[in-house]
Amino acid sequence: MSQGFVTTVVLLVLGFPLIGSLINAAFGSAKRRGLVNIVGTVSIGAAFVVSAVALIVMLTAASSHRAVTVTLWNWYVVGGSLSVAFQATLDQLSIIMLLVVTGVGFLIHVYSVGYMEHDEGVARFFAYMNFFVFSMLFLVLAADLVFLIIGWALVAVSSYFLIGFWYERPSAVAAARKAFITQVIGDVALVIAAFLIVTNVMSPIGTHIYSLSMPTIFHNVASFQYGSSTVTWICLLLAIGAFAKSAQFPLHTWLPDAMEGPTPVSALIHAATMVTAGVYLIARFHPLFDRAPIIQGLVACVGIGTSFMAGIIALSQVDIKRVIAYSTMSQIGLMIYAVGMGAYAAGMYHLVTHAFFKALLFLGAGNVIHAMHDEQDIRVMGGLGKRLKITEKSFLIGSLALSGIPLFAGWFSKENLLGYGVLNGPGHVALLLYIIGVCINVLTGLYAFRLWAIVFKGEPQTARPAAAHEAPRIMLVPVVILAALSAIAGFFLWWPVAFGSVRVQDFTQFLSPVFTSITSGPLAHEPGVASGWIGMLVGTAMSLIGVGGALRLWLRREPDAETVASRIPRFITQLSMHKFYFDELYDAAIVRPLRAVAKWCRKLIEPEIMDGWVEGVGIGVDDLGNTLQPFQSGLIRDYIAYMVFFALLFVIIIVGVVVR
Amino acid sequence: MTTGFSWLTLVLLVPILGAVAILCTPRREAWLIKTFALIAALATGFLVLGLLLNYSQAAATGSPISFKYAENVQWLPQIGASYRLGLDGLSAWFLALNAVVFLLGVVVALVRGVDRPKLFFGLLILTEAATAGVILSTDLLLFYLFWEGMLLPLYFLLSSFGNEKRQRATVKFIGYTVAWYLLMLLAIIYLHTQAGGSFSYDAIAARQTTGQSIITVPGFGWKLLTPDQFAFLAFALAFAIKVPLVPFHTWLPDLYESLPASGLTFFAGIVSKLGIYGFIRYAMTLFPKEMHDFQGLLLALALLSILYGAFMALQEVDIKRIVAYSSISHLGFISLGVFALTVIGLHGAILQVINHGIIIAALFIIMELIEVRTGTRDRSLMSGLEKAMPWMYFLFMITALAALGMPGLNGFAGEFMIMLGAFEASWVLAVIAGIGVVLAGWYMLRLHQGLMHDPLHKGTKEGMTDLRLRERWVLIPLCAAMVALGLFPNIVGQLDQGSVQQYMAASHTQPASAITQPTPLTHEVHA
Repeated sequence: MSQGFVTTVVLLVLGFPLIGSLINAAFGSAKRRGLVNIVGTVSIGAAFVVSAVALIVMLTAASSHRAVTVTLWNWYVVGGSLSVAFQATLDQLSIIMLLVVTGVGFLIHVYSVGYMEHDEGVARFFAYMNFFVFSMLFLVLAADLVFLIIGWALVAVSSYFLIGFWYERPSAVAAARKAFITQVIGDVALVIAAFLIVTNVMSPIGTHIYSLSMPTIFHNVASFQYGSSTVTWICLLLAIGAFAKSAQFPLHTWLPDAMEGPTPVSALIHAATMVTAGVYLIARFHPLFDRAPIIQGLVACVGIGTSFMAGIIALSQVDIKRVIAYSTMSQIGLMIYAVGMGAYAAGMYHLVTHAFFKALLFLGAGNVIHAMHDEQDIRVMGGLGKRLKITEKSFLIGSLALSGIPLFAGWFSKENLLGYGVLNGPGHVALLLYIIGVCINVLTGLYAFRLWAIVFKGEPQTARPAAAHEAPRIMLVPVVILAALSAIAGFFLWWPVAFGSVRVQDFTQFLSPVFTSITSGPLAHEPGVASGWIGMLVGTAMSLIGVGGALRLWLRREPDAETVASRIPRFITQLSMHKFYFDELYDAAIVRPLRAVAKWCRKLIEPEIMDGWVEGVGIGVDDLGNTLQPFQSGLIRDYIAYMVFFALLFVIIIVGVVVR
Repeated sequence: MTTGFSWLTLVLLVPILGAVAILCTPRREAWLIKTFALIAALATGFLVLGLLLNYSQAAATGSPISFKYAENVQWLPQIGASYRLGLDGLSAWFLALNAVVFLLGVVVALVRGVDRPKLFFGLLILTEAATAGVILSTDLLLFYLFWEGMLLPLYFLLSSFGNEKRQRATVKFIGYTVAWYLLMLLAIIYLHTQAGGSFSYDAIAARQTTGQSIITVPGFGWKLLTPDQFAFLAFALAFAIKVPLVPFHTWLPDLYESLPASGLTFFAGIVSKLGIYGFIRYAMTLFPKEMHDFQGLLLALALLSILYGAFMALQEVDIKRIVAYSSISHLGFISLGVFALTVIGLHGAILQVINHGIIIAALFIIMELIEVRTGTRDRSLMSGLEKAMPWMYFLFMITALAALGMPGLNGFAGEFMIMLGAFEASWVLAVIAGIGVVLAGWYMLRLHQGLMHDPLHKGTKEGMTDLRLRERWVLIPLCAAMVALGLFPNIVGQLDQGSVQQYMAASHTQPASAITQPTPLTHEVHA
């Protein structure tokens, strides 16, 4: 691929959503709904077409010429010490992200046309949505640390806009702020990681010039010794950034609250794109992570731990979107686990399939919420399958893919990454993580089919499900397409196919140049799907146990299963219901103390000390004047007395000094 | 040794001519006064723009800092004082900011209306001329005269316009500053004797420092500071009050609360930045050794300002005071960039001076426009304004994001460079500054969201209008500048390269040749 071609692709892919956003912001209104809808969807569709063309051109190129970095402009250059350019890269990793973001994004935009049909703020909505896609594309195209940080923060701010879209709801406003401030913590971690990288990486020609270009950094990755404290700190900070964005422990509390946004927003940013950016970041920085084994282990543990915790929480939630949100957190945890284990391609593979079936589940939930007139509590639903036939079938496919039932997309990707862990991980810890991983399979099956059974099956719990209507066609078509992808994508990406001269490779092989070609010391070996057979069998069995359990408990409502459920210790159900008390903990440990410090500054420090000393000086001068005033008595005899006194004092001092 | 035309004198003369014209105009001819003010502001702006565009072509003279467009006219040869002006990469940006916020102040006054135009514009223009003098003078006596002279029109400006609190705030400000300026005068006289009887900046910078001699109190053996350290502290205190660094800041919130936006854009935009300017131009280069002696203390004050300002902004209820405290926090950042004493940090500081000037002006204009519409400055009495004012929401959003350091906007560009420079000095500095960034996100969102989101407050006035067209056109260029400088900060970086190198060289005690020269970097792009 030539530089000119890549520059064009980058500018077009970024330009379409940005221009769409600007047009809707400047000219859109609820009265011009037709224009808003067309601009909003076509801009993303056009970006998808450009990305698809770029993929085809990339596939025709030899595999060693598929990664191209272009410099757009100089951001800041300090002669002799710093050079920051805006650089974009198009390689196997970024093209996959481009396709997922624009492809799934386009379907969600089309769906939004129907979902937002009666909302007055439709122009604002599409302006924000397009801006979000622009930000996400900006992030994945970045080949320069500043470019990356800007994209990283743009994603955060556009998600802030979207979560707080219904700004007259105090809960939405609070959720948006919480999400944003968590993201800022991640941003700061990323910025400091960037500082550590640029001050420690050796420049290519041995000068003192800091370069922030990622290809240059990766090329000189030998500056970092394997396991050295510098690279460990860098990767820890990068991981904090990734955890904030991907809602991993301990920065995960914003994600469930973020469900305050409209449902298509949840599908776009909390399933397919934004929350997967952390996975992308770690995969992108794998030359560094490969050199920081401690942090790799930490990342894997945090991923699997978050996944397990979220799986337990998802079992007791009653808000349809929150169940899916915790499911997302759980699945992202698995991806984070994979990239922590060094299985980058496996993590990316799950990222892609997850984007399909999770977007599907969110949009399906959107249809349910739409039909129930903005009701999200699953306890008042039930029996919706009779009224929403297509949605129910699609939702079922999504749940099957999520649970990892054989031949659905999630099965390939999830069993692949879990199998990797047991085959290639180091020793007992890896085995332990794997065992937790297959337990998560049980949890996944349980919560996925609990949701499906309670919402769509059984008897309607209230009168409202009986009056529900299937969604309009514009909301069904994206759902059906996503259902088809969820059913076949895993197989499709696994199987190498050839179309004439264009050779489509299997996913892992396609990505392998990104994860192996850079001189980066001991690189983990990718297993491919085939070598994970043992893991796949065990994992599949566990998934089936989970699904079966869920069907017995919530579909057939067998009494013995109920008693099993009631034997679970109370503290576990309490932890699950209260999301492990993290909100309460952070409020007590961080938010309140900071507020107290601020209050203390305002009430005590500022008036008493800061202003106090100034006022004190003023009062002191006043007092001094008052004290001295009586001496100005106007009586000659007083003045003579002072004169004599001070003259004597002067003489004594002089004499004293001379005598010494 | 004046070479060519006296361009810098013209920069001082144009506003003064404008002031004279306004003085000669009868008070009832308000439109004429406004026209004169606008012409003076525009003429100054174009003049400065021309100087900047021709900057790279102009000849440079002098050491350790080479000045362009230099002028030198003998004034009081008996005491070695001359009328010396010069422009370098540092002062060029301060001069540009001065011209921009001056124009902005005039425009805001025209848009918002002003009750005594003759007095207001006359005083504003005179203050602008004085600040330009502070920035341009390369003679310490001249500098001091402008520095003190600035207070004169400023005093009347502050005490004549603004709300009922202004009298007390003005007395506090003037009292605060005048007291320390006299110490600075003593320090200048001391430097004059050390430099062989010249007030020239070059001569004083080149003086042989007698830093080793310790004053001891006879008979006691008390070791006090060196005279140079005393002189440094006199300068540093005067500048620290102007910036202001915590704990010398208490004049600022009161004053900012009482001033109208037209005055504030100018005052917050440039006057408080002169402290930063003083630190770079005088404290750093005239006292390189002392700057290093006290670096720890200064860095501690900068970090304290960042965190303290942020915490105060987090609890404050008056929206103008929130912005005032955010300004203290931001100036702490700029000071951090200067005190880190690294090339990158200094670049960041200069960049952030421009950025902050734009952001703070926009913020104060927005606060005033909100106050006019809602009739209150109490944050807890406002909410849900977005519905009535979408334009206000949008422009305020960009400004708030720029203020909290959103990457992609100008506030980030400066903070990134400052933090990188501070990181080079010590990672602790960057981490503490990072906490300040998180707090900034918190208090700016608290301000913006609190006013704009949630349901409309019950006590809100009926019939609030969105920004009018001309109000929009005051804010849109500012927001455009925030985006442009965020994406292309090199606009600023290109011009001050050489001068920053010279300042850094002068701030090190070793010879200038030790500083690395620019070397081209070849990107090895992995293909």
